[in-house]
Parts: sequence; C-alpha cells; structure tokens
Amino acid sequence: MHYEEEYTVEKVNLGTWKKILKTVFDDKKSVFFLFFFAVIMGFIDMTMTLFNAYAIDNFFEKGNYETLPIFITLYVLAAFIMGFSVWGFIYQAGKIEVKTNYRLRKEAFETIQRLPFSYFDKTPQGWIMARMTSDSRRLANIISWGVVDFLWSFVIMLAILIILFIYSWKLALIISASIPVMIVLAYYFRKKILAGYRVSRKKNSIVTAAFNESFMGAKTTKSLAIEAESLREFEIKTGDLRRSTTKAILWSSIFSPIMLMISYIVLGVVMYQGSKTIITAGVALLTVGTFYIFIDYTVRFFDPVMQISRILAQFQQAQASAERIVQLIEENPAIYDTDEVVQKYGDLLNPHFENWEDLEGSIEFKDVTFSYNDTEIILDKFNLKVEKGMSVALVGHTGSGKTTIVNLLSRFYEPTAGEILIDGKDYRTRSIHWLHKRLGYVLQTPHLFTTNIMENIRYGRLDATDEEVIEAAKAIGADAFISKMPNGYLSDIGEGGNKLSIGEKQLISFARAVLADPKILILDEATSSIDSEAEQVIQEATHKLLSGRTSFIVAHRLSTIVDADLIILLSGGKIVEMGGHKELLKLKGGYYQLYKNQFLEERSKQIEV
Amino acid sequence: MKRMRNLFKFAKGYYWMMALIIFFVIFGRFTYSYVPLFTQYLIAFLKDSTPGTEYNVNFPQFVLEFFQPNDGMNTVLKVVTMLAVFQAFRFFFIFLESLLRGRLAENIQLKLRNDMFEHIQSLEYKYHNNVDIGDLIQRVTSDIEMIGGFLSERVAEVIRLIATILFGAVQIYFISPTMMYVAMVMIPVTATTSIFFFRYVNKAHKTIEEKEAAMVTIIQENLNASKIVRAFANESFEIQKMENANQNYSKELRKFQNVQAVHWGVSDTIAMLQYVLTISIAIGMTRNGFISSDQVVAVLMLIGMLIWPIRGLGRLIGDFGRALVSTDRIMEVLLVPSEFELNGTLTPPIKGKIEFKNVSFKFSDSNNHLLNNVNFTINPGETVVFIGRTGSGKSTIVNLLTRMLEVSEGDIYMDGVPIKDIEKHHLRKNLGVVLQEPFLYSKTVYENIAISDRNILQSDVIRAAQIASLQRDISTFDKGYDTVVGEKGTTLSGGQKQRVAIARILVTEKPILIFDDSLSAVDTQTDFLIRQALGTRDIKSTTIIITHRITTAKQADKIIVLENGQVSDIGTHETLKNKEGLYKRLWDIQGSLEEEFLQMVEEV
Repeated sequence: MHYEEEYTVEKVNLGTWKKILKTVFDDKKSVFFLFFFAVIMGFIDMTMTLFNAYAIDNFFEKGNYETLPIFITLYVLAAFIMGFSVWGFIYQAGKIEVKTNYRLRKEAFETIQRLPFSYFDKTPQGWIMARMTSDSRRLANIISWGVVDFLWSFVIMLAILIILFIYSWKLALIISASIPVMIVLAYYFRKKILAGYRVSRKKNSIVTAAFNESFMGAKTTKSLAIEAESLREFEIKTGDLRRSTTKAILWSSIFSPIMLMISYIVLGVVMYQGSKTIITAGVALLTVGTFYIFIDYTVRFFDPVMQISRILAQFQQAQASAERIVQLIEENPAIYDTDEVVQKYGDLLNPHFENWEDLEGSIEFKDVTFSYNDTEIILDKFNLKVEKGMSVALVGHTGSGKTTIVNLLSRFYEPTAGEILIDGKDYRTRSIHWLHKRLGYVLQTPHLFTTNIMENIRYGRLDATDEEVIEAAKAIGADAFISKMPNGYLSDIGEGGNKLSIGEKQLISFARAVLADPKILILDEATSSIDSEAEQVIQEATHKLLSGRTSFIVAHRLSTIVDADLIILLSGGKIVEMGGHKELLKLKGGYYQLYKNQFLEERSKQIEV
Repeated sequence: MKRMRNLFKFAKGYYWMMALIIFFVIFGRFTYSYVPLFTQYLIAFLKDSTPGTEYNVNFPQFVLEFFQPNDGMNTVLKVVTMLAVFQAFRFFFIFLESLLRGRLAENIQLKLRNDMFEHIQSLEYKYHNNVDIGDLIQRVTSDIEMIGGFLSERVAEVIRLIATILFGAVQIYFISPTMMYVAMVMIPVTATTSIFFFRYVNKAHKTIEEKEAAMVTIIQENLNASKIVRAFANESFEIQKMENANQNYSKELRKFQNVQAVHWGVSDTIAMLQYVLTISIAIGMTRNGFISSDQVVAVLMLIGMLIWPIRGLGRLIGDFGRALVSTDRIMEVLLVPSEFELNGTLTPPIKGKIEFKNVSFKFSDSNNHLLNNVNFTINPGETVVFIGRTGSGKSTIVNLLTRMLEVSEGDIYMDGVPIKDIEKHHLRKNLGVVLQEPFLYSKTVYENIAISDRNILQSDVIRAAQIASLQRDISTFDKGYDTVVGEKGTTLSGGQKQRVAIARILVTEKPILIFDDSLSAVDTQTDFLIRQALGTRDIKSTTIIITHRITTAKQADKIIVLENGQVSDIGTHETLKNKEGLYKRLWDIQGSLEEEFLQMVEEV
C-alpha cells in the first residue's frame, strides 16, 4: 500500500486543501492580523520609493525646502512603521505555522490512538513517523510562509502596477505584458529544478544506505576480502549522485540569470520609453523623480513575480505531503464500536464507567473464521470453550494460528465470521475500551518506555500508588533486582529499556500486568533464551501471574506448557490435539514430538552454559 | 589555524576551481557597482542634453566617449543597449560562477565520500566492533555536506560580502567621499546585531531540536508499543503525554520565532533609517551645490550594496565555526590507522595446513589473556571441531587465523608460512568464514551468494545453494533467487541467513572453511545434511567447525577442546569419550538426556 514516497501529485485535490486551510484558518485573529501587516508592509515598502522620488523632485531639482522637516519626520515614521509591521508579520506567520504544525500532529496522533492494532501490522512505522514529523513540518511551513509571501508579493505587484498606471499607463502596460511570460517561464524552471533536486535527494539516500550497509557489514566484507569490489560499487553510486546533483545545479544556475536578463530587457524598454517622453515632452510630463520611480519599481517588480512562481511550485510539491497527512488524520479505524455500544459504554475519551459490567472471565469461540486478506483463511470455524480461571497453552509451529487466536481474543482483530463470547455475550456488544481495561497482555518482547522503572510498571494501572507498584513488583519477584539498582524504582532504564537484561525486562512487564490485575490475561511467551538462573525466576513469576485468571498463553517454555490446565496443539488453524499434559503425552502424537524436541533443546542449552 | 588548514585541504585538487570562483565573484561585484551609473548617466543626460556637455559619471573614458556626442534618442538607445549587453555579459559570468560552485561542492563531497568509505572499510576489526554507527553515518553525511557547502558556498559568500561593500563604497566615494562615510554609518550596528542574533539562532536551534527529539521519542514509543497501549487501554494517557511534548516543542519554536520577528523588525528599521539619513545629508549637501539629483539617484541605488549583505555576517561566522567542527569530526576518522598498514607481502598458494605455535592473545588494553600458549596442527582436508564453553577462546582462534586480530605472542603458520607475512586479502580470500551472526547485503539472494565472484556461473550458485540446503527455502520466496533480502526486502529467518552465508563461501573453491558457531540457528537435521553435502564437493577443504553440539563433534577427524584460553585436549571422539575431561562430561550428559526423557514419559 503506502510504502512508496510519491512527491508529485499533479491533480489538485480540493478536499485535502480544504481540510488543511480549515486548520490554518482556525485562528481567525492571527490570520486577520497577518493580512493586515502584510498590506501595511507592502504599502510602506512602496512608499519608500515615492519618498525618494519626492525628495529628488522637490529638494534636488526644485530646491524647495519648505517641506523638509515634515518630510524627514514622515520618512522616519515610515521606517518605524515598516519595522513594526515586519515584526508583526513574522510574528503572526510564525504563530500560524507553529499552530498548524501542532494541530496536524495532535489530530494525527489522536487518530492513531483510535486505530486498531491491525493498522500497524500493515503500515510501516517509518511511514507514520514521516507524516507526523517532516510532512507536517513542511506543510505548516509552506502554508504559513507560502501564503504570507504570496500575499505580500501580490500586494506589492498590484500596488506597483496601480501606481505606475497613474503615472504613465504606457510604461505600466509594457511591464504588465511581461508578467505572464515571467510567471510561466519561472514556474517551468522551478518545476524542473524541484524535480532535479528530488532525483538528487533520492540518489543521496542511496549513498547513505550504502554507507550504512558498509558499516554494518564491515566484518563480513573483511572476511570475504571484497573491499575493492564494494568500493567500486560505492563509487558508481557517488558518481551517480554527483551527476544528478550537477544536473539539478545546471538548471538552477540558468534560472536566475535568465529571469534577471528578462527583467533588464523590460527595464531597458521602460528606460527608453521614459526617456523618449522626457525628450519629446519635457520634464513637465515626466519628472526625474518619476523616472526614478519607474526604474526602481521595474527592478523591484520582478522579485514578487519570482516569489509567486516559487510559491506555486512549492504548493504543488506540498500537495503530496498534504494528502498523506490528511489521509492519516482521516483514516477510519477498521474495528470500531457501533453507535449503540458507544451510547452505553462511551468512547475512548469519555467512557461511561457507570454502565460497565464486571468481567467474569469465561470465553467461548463460536464457529470463528478469520482471514487477514480474504484469500488465505487462517482460522476456519474454530470452536473453543474456556471456563473462568482456566489457563490455556497454545502450542504449534509458526503460522499455526496461535497469535491469531490471541489477537482475536484481544479484539485487535475481529472474526470474519462467527463470534467470540465473553461471559456469554458477543464481545462486540461491549466497547473495545471495556475489554481492554479488563484484559492484560504480556508481550513476547516486552516494550518498555524510556523512563524509570516505577512509571513503567505503573503503565499497567495509571492511578496506582507507589506502594501498589512496589507491591506488584514484589509479588512477581522483581523487587530483588530493582532494589539493587542505584536509584531503585526511580532508576532510568535507558532507551526502550536497553539498560536491562531480557529477563529483567520481562519481569517488569509481568509486574505491569499484575498491577493491572486483569480478569483475562494473554501471555505471548518469548522464544529467546535467557540464562538458567533468570529462567527460574521467570518461571516462578509466570506461575504467580497466571494464578486466578483466565489466561491464554502462546507458549514456548516447557514449564509453562506443563502447568497449563488445557493444552491446545494447533496446526493450520485447526485444533489437532487438545487436553492435559499427561493425556497428550500418552497419545504419542504431534505433542509428544514437539515436547521431545523442546525438551532436548532446552536441556542441552542448560548444559552448554 | 591547523584546523583551518585541514578544512581547506579537503579542496585539494580543486584549488583552481576555488580561485576561478573567487575571481568570478569579485568580477561580478565589481561590475555590479557600475550598473546604477547607467541610470545616473541617463538622468544627467535627460536633464541637460545640450551637445558637448560632459557628465560627471564614473564610467571609464572609453564608455564616456562611446556615449558621445549627445544626440537625443540615439544616445538613449546607446545607453540602454549598452546596459543590456553589459548585463548579459555579467549574467553569463554569474551563471558560470553558480555552476562552478555546484561542481566544486560536488567534487569535494564525492572525493570525501569515496575516501571515507575506503578508509573506514580498511579500519581494523576492533574499530568496527566498538564504533557507534549512527554517529559515523552523521559524519559521512551531514559533516561532509557541511564541508562541501562551506568550501563552495560560504567561502564565495565571504568574498562576495567584502567585495560588495568595498566596491559599493568605492563607487559612492567617486560621487562624494562624505556620502560614503554617511552610507557606512549603520554597518557596525547591523553587523553587531547580526552576529548576536545568529549566535542566539544556534543556541535556540539546539533547544528546539531537543524538544523535538523528546516529542519524536514519544511518537515512536507509542507506535512501538501500539499493542501495549491498546491492551492496557491507556490511549488517553498517551494523548496527554503527546500533548505535553507537542506543546513544549511548539512553545520553544514560538519563542525562537518571536526573537526572529523582533530581529528582522529592528534590522529593517535600521536599514530604512540608513536611507533617511543618507538622503537627509544629501539634501544638506545639495543646498551647498555639492551633489546633483542624478548622483543622488546613483547613491540611493548603490547604498543597498552596503546595507543588505552585512545582515548575513552572523550566519557566515556561525557556519565557519560549524565547518571547523565538521572538519575535526572527519579528520578524527581519517587519522585512525588502516589495518593494512600492517600487512604481509607473500601470496603463496594455500593448501590448508594450519599450525598454531605458542599462540597467546590479549587485547592491548586488558591484562586478561583470551588465549594462552595454544598449540595445535590441522592437516589439509581435515575436519576439526573446536568445543568449549562460552569465553573459552574459540572465536578468538578464528579471528587470529583471519588476522582480524593480531597474535600477542607466538606464530600461526599456513602451509609452513607465517601468516603475518601473507598479504591479508590473499589470506582471507582463501578462508571461507561463516560468522555466528552473518550479515547479508541488501541485494538479491543470488547476488548475495555470488558476492565474492560476480562472474561466477549460475550453475555454481545453484550448486552452492543446494549444499547449504537452501534450495527449498528459495523456492518458497516470491521471486526465488531474485528476492531482495535485508531491511528493504524480505526478512529471512536466522537459519536462512546462516545458510545463505554458508552458500556464499561455497561458490568459490576455498581450501579452508570455518564455521564459527554458524550452524547453531539451523536444526540438528539440517546441520547434518549440510555437513554431509560438504563431503560431496570436488575439493576437499580443511574444515573448522566451532559448535556446542556434541553430535557434530562426534563425526570430526579431530576434536580440540578449549578451556579458559588453553587447549586442554586434542583427539577424536573415540579417544576422548572415555578420557576424564570436559568432552567426556559433555558427552555423558548428552547421552543421558534421551534416557531422561523416555523415563519421564514412562512416569506419566
């Protein structure tokens, strides 16, 4: 789906821009002031030339100094107004930029919280990250400053044209005639340049990836003694990068001289025409001051023209960013509560706790069929009844459907057909939030947040007191290693918990689940090996964790499997063998084999260490 | 000073380009200062076009002569055409300058990239073991770009800044020396504010980046933990967490933008006041007849040359500091000595006899001997298993043999030649090593297998895949041999990766194969199949296997038992299984396991 980064979307999508502009115009006061300051700024900018022209005509040409004091006063005043409006202009634009950026991120983040887990299965994390960082930043930037620059350029262009028309419609016409030529040409160049740099950026990321690969695989490259070949390959990539960048540079190098040349040709025509008027009609019709105005305005006229072409090209480029981020914000969750359910149970942000029933813990899968993509059926009419308080170990090879079952039970996915009953009622008649509040999930590779141990455990139940957190840790046997850490429970555990061992991470995530005290617990056991001492601790912790709860375990450890009330051997989404440990061993079937392999593997590893 | 020399040394080979650019820049600014004079001349002419009048405009003599005699529209046409031609000429040089600057930047970066790549590749094993890859990537991307950008753009900008002010001032000086001093009044003020502002910008950016990083971490963790967030129903807590970080970041940005708004507001006021001041003084002077209106127009047009460029001074200084820091970071890497500075010269044909004579090894910064006086001989074609606990020195032996590490004492001989005299590439080309955690390149499966000889026959690649018992796996991939592996392609399982790594050393005929615990991620059955298939190859390689599987050891020609960095026993399964020691203990335990299991099953 959306893995590829497309930059150009030719068609203008009005819906997208409407959404974005709505976000921008949310702060109407700022937008008003922005327009206000932009107009003032453009106006003052224009008057500067008029001031100078007035001075030329009155003071230098005519030698009439009566108005000098008021002239200087006004000019100084204009300078200060100019400074003030520049300040106001940047201030407001900045405000809008930051606000837009903030709002886009906020909305995207809130949408993400509403999306079911399945969304993350099929959307790469990098894609989401890029939307929330670079895309929103680029968009906010182009929107605020782009709109602002456009506005300012437009005001100046218009003002210049009006003033010129007042002074001499002939000269003004000459200049107007050049506008479309300039805009079309500039727009064409801008697009070429942008496209060129896009190619060069792509080549650049290829080079960066090659660097990365070379560093990661340095030892392998050495042991294969293929340094020379890999350097040769690398040189092809850097050569490619240079070629594409120089090409982009060529376009941008031509661009500005050509535009300047056109503007000077127009200026030449203006100068010629102006001079002709003066020579044939005398200074009465065209004063030196006016002549100065024309030259100055002509030169300055082309800056806004260039600006507008730049903004147009940028907007076109931003379109792709805009679409992607709007797409994320407006993404509809694939799993959601019906209106009736929301009415009774409330939604994520406004739960109606008073209407929530308790959860007892009996579970039933009734003719559950499931497929991720319609073509490949993972579970087919799966039936299973689990009494309250029972522990169920799911065993079987990768792809046998273990994870699917717990994903369905957690309502990360919903059955394609059939239903799942919790306490005898289809779980879709209650809210997702209701289920999740009563469900515990302990992951295979525990995810810890970059903060201290206390907060990580507290994640299980946010309103737990410090004492309760410590109690949970003690209950699971994690207190021992935590107390030994320099700051005890307040010790930082590094990024993603990388200061802790795998076993320690698991204990913390166990403590988290104990704190949450869920009625239903799902344990996705780790396959990774830990040393036998830690293994012992984990084993005991698992035991404590499971007692008194209905639990589903995607099991890998023998001890966990043996302890379970019910063992289910799955293959191809179907139950192959089901029963207690001893019962199944006696069958000498699939479970027997699996158990034997696992036993030998586990034991010989213990010996190895 | 030395740092600056280092920085400029990166442009070595392209100094002529730099010189040409500087020439173009100076030329461009010099000619630019003449552009307003055309307007000045025209105005002077229009005011008084009586034949014979000469105008006080600072054009070279030949230009003034060209404009003469004063002849109404003809003169106007001459001036206007000359301006257009003059500008066309100038713009052509601007184009060349811009093109050259781009070329220079690209050339410097290309050279730096290639040099860095080659150099880092040649750094020793130990360096790569300890290096922070993220930081290294930073150096080869942003630091290189910083240097390339500085040498091409910023250096030109500094020259442009100086030249602009200089030529602008000179041109005004010719109109009126007093005017020149007046026009320069605000330069120190603007320069100072600029320097202070950009100092602030640097500082503010750091804070902003920190806040942004904090926010990005929260988003990232939220995505990583999407399952946990949902399972514990902590969505609103997450939203609140993000809200705080989002606001902190936004606040910091706003703070910066407010300062920025004030700075540009103030500096625009200053710039405009400069105009007011200049024109006021000029009015004073014209009262006394010192200056005429055409000259005022020229001054007004030239004054911009003194006002606007100086505003970028602070940024230039900041960039210079940053370029120096980047230089240091690049030099730091380039100064690490290459491992090939210590290399042999011999390239003898290698048959596969390996001898360790009194070999000891310890890292120079440690007192702990990883190997202590190790002696053994391996004959060509033998299959030898090294067995021992974690940390007994098994992998060190492989690293010494491939000269990833150098012996501290003793010598290693390859067919009787000390390996320190053998050229490293030659030695490694003859050793096929499969590491414990093999690295695959993000290429296709086929290219990965054929990595050490790109011209190899397709049949050889397929044969190697067969021996590595990889054929079946490949047939399940959607694109077979053309499946791209690694980050951007299909993710292979640990066992599949190991088998690709095995296949890639089998495509060429290597006299020595080394499996550094590399059969551990494949199951016992496949392990056996691979070893059996190895025996069917035409060439009988010396095979060294490091393993913890006692069943693998059983079939070896020779078993070398390592304990605490020393060889505690050498023999075969037959001789060792009844001899007291580590091997016997391991063997006994292994054997009893099956029994233990059967017994347990009986019990239930």
